[in-house]
Amino acid sequence: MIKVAHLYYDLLNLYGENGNILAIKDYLENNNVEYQIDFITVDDKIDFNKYDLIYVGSGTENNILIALEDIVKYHGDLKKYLDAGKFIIATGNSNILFGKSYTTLNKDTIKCLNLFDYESKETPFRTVGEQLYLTNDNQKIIGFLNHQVLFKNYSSNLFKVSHGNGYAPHKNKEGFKYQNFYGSLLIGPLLIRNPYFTQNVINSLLKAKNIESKNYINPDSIKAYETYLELFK
Amino acid sequence: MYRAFLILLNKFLSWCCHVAHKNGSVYPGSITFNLNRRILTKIKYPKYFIVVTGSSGKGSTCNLINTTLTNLGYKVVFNNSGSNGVRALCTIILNNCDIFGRMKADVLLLEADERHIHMAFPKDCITHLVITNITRDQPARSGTTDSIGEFIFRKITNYTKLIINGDDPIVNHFATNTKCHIVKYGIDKTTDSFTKPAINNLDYGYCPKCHHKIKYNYYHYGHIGSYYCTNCNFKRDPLKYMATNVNLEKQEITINKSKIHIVKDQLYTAYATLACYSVLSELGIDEKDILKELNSDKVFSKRANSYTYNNNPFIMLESKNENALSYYQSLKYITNTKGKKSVILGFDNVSRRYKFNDLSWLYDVEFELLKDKNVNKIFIIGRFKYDILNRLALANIDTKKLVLVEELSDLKTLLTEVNEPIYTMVCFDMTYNIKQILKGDLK
Repeated sequence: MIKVAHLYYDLLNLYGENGNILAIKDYLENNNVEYQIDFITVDDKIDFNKYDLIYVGSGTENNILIALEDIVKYHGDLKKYLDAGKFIIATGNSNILFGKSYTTLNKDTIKCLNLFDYESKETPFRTVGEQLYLTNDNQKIIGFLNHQVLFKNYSSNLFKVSHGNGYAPHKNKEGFKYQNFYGSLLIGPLLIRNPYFTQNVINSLLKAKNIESKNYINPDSIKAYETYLELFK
Repeated sequence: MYRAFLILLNKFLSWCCHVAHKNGSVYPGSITFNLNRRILTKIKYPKYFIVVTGSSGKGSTCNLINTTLTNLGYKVVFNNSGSNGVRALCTIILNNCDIFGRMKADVLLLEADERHIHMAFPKDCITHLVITNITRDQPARSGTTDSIGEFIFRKITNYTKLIINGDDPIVNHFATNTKCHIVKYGIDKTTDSFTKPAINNLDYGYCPKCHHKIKYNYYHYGHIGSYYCTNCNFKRDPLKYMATNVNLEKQEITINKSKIHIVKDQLYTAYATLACYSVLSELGIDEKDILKELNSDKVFSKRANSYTYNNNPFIMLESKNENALSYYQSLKYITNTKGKKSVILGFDNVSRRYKFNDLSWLYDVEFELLKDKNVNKIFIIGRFKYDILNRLALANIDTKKLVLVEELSDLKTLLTEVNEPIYTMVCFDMTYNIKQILKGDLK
């Protein structure tokens, strides 16, 4: 049984990011893995220990502050969770939550979870565009950036930029991985659109839980992925 | 002198576009506005300067206001071309000025892009600002609902009377942060209202003032409905204008005990009619005159085009990509119609404004509605057909219903087997392509 938490499902849900939960569900179903998905948010009593995978997506400028206000109290719990080798997938500006601090355009600096060394600040400009990245084993990743945040001390190590932008102007890397934390600024249904990446991440999770995977990927998602890749030719 | 020159230049360029049979709604203004970005601050505006903005519904609201005011004898200048960016606004305004910058109208009525209002006009010139709603819309251009609200209100002062959709907590939040006089309108519970959202992607779930979760007495769609904060005084009410007894089948609503005809059997037209009624009332127009005009058949809506194909009704809804709630309303409209039907979905380009093809919004749209047993076949067309197919499959729609149209030219043959009304829900580019393919048979 795999237990998944969609954290701040009603706050951090911009840009079709609910699709990531559908992708996780679809992969587990297609591979005959039993699962449970809980939708948890502000004011819920959260026991992170009972989950194997936490997904958190991006939010509006206001909603990210509400989430931040709530999540900092879980610093110890989430540190233990990650140290236990459990999985977190964070997309878009939700990566802000896990760093040291976040500075808004009004120059307010807010303390974050402090699980990683990076700091972030809101920018007066948006970074927008289609992206093509490569994983460390040269698997292609497609996605879209649409954010207003700049990271400092961000040891980006998840993706190399093949076309588009990195985590900051003139940077050729994007995404952050630490143990089983996968963070990327890419927005939207990243896991739907990148079926092989999803397979790799979920298979690692299944392996950690000693659950066998049939490695089945929905062929329509592969067709969609391959069709979109043609845009970059 | 320079103002006179720009006005004459604008008129000349518009004339050239007209003679050359080119669309001249934007080009003249793009030249004159670029020559002087303050040109619109040098105009003497009419007594009533009404701007209608919002993520959706501004076109239908403006059309109604324009038609009713014109029928009531007002001289209205209105950008009815649908172009609503700052350069298009510049074109229409300068074309309707004399060389001294005086507008020859009683009312200037503009449908304006949410992001462009602050760029176009000086402070203290808009007398009435109507805001239909703020929803996630074209995120690659507009960012989030927070940034859309910030754009709209950037230069609004208490000179402007706000006429807002009170059912939208985002609009309400931004409006109450101003010192403007606020008039709210809204719709009472309808037979289609619901108490729990179907999908978890509401644009607004938390109180902007105290960050507690807001509750809803009912939703109309998305985050639009009757809401209140359990912790502070943030709430929808009071509404000055409320539509009750909404009967979409009969195309009727009631405002202040009077029945009013709406131009289509869709909720967005009820909102447009209510907004129009509110604006006209706030201008001091007699209620009898408003009712007489709104209940006449002269008003129109430009959205859906109805044809017949193979003796079946063929209804072309132009849905807006990247606006999940606009899309939702079209889906709801289709599934609310009685009897079996087939649907065509798809697009080649996400937007006509920019080259990005961000497909994230597909997962903000409640395609689950198409599970309806009366939806017989769904034809999927366009460059991103596999993405749509994938989305529909993940919505648990029976895959036997889904027909992947590899080449658009195959559509004609595939449609010959359909014996029921067909609804197209495609973007601007595909509307044209479908009409071309079915040319001759589409009546």
